[in-house]
Amino acid sequence: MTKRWHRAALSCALAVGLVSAAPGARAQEAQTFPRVYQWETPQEGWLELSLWETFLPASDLPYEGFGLGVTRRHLWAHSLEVEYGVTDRLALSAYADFDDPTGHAPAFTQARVEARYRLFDRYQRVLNPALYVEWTWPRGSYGAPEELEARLILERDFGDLRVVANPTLMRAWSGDEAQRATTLGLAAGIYERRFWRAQPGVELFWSMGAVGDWPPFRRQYFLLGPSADVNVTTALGIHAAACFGVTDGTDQMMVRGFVTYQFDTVRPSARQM
Amino acid sequence: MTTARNAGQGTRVTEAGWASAPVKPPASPSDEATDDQLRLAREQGQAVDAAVAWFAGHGSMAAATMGAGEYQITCLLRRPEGEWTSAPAAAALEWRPDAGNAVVTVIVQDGADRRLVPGLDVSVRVWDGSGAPVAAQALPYRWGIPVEAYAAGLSLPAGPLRVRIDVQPPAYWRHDPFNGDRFANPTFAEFTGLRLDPGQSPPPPGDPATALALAKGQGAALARAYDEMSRGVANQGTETVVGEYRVAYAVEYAETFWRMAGGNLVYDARPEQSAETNAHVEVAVFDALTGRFLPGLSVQVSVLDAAGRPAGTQDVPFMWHPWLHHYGRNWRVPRAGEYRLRIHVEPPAWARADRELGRRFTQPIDVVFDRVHVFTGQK
Repeated sequence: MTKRWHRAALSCALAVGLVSAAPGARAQEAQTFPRVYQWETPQEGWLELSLWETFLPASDLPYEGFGLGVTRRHLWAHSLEVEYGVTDRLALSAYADFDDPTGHAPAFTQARVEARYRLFDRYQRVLNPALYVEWTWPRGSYGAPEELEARLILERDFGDLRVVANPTLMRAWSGDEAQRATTLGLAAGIYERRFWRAQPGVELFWSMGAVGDWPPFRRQYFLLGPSADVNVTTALGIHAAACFGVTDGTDQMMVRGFVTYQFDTVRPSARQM
Repeated sequence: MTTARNAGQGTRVTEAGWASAPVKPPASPSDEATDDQLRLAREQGQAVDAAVAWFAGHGSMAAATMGAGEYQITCLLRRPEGEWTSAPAAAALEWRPDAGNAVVTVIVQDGADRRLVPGLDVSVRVWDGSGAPVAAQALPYRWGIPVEAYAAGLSLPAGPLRVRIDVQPPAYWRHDPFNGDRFANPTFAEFTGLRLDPGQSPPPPGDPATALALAKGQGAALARAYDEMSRGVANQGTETVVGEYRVAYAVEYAETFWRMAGGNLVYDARPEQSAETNAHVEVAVFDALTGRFLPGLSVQVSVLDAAGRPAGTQDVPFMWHPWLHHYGRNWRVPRAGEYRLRIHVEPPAWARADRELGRRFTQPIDVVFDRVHVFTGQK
């Protein structure tokens, strides 16, 4: 079973490599629900529900949904995520995203499905690796292309410090030719994990632009800021962060977070004798 | 649909009476147990099965077995003998004859791998043939050869008896995110076919050498599991013999576990949610004579760094494990490196059966393991 999943994961990684070779040029999109994914996945049978919230107090970037001629300033976005541990290594998630932009009623924008697969056991390799693939289906009137996103999740603990990096490739699969470029990004974080209750961190989210057609750094998307993970109970956790844009191509400020609730084991069993 | 949560609810008529509906506890490969390691657990259970079968056939006036909840419960009515118990205000043990005319002896095995389930709160109620209650009491743990049990001497009338055994969910921690989800529900087994016949002379108790060999068979199976733990899983581990005990340790990364909270079994994910603990210290105490694990002990561990500075002293409780029960807890050490482990074990409070071999485990012991390399992290 494990070998089969390993093969599937490697095939997936190969596919991502092929995708990255596709030529093209595409303006880098701003991110609405950035996240640094860690290596750990839910155990088999565990179900998690998350509510994501993002608010942009300051931004000069254009809001590209629904054909509105407004900026992302004061955009409020929400996302509901359900994640299930299919095995101890493989987790599947589904998202429903909603935007509440200036000049438009709150509206459903897109659905996403995601698979995460963690390779090896912790500490078996210098870095703990995992694979991540996400497919996005936007609502028609939202006006965005379907997208495939692939990440390599790399993690290592240095004592109480955890360092995580997610190099990311993203490619549109619909829309005009200009949109169908493969873009490269990086999400990364450093977290101080000494105490269970609250764990401060620093996170960055960097979209470098189309592979082979890099825009100048000042036009790239680069968010940086502090974060905090708060464990309210072992089942209820909060991630909160404030991010600040350091280039012209970035939102000036983003406040974001998510609340995750881990349900009890939902594990079908036929062990009644 | 049966789930891990509702399994074991309801009752079922069995060949020997009726009981909490039998269910098979989880026994699948997981983060903490491979197929081969689960096989090591089943080997231990097979050795227990052999000992139970022999014990039931030698010296028992009545015997019956049934699946109940997640357990396999065997109830024996045996002739009274006695037990070694701690004399009040004395370090020595004294031999006390069993009370009554029969010893109700209950052996509780895991329904999946058949290993003995230690650390249970077991009680018995008995009714005579007319339905009148004749006895009710707790059955304390009793060490014995060839098998350990929960037992007490009772005065029982001749004739048919209805014997109900109640088992409460144990409070101890359980390893393994998948297989540790077990023993969460109160369970009963009611035996309706047992009887004491007037003037019955019980079958002979059997050859002591055979009984000892069966006990050693359980120890040998356990030794294979410990070998796998110390060589194949733990970051470091070894063992030593001290008097009547064989004491082993293993150190690993901090681990998650199941624990009882408010009457429910909950999975404590804290150890993987932070670096608050960064190591897991395990101690196993075996009987040097038979090699079997000794449950119900008071074990204390002190960790000192290479310069002799203390890195904590803590009581280390019993932990259920899918293939090697032990005493253990997560720990916080300042950094990865070499440490000294000082282990203190108090003599057990439980009674020992067997007049010849049971007068043992009377002294506390202290064991020191030097140059123990502790790797830090979360499993």
